[in-house]
Amino acid sequence: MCGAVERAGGILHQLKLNDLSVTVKKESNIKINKFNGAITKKYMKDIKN
Amino acid sequence: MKVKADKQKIQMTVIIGIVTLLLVSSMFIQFKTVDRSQESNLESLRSDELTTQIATYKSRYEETMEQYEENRNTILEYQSTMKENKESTDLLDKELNDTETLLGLTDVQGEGLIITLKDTDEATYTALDLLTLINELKYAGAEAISINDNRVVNLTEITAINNSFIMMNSDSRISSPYTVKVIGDKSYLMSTLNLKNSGFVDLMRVNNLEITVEESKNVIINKYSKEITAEKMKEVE
Repeated sequence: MCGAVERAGGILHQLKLNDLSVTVKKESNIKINKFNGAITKKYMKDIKN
Repeated sequence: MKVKADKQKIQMTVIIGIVTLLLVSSMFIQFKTVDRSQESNLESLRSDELTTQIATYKSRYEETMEQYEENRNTILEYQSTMKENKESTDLLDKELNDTETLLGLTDVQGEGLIITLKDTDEATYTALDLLTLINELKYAGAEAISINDNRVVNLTEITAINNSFIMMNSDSRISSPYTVKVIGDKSYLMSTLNLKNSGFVDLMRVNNLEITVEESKNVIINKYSKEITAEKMKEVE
């Protein structure tokens, strides 16, 4: 995944070209909190096959 | 002498006859007594047997009734458990179905918009334009979105391959014209896109790009047809 952003033309390359500072760090265990909002389906309904 | 002998002979015959008669009579009496005794015994025996048999049958009947009640209660318990299981299964099925719908794994329909984007001789749509549109639609409460019938799900990426093609959902190449279908509150979606000057429609038109937005009471959006994997992530305990 790091390779994708670091490659020439990748987002890091583009940001650096624009003199923007960016750091990327590899982690072996990232924790991401759950989404606390509500996902609704008020307007859509399933099409029964 | 001869007369005397005859007289004795007659007496003997009479005596023998009487004795024989007595014997026969006593035998008859004996037979009769034995017969009556046997009948009485048999009747007594039958009565006892019947009483015993009735008692046995009664006992068996009671046992059978107990067993029947036990089986009936077991069946009622099974029926109750089956009903509870069916309710649980129905609830789980509904939750699964709702989750699949929210993830974009089912075909859906509802009111919304159909937006058509076309490149012109002066300008072409970019991946960033599509991303901006998707973001605007999400902001306006979109519940389901597709571009050229490719469902947009939470991890959908939209990236440029070259000047002619845009890629989404890993391997789907799309190009102009782009048909973006969205389900949600059509009035709110429409007003968000048509914000004077800063709305997506005006921004595209200023850039000489063609855009049409059509309201629909029944937009149909196909499901996401690829596999969603969770190879690297796992739920935090």
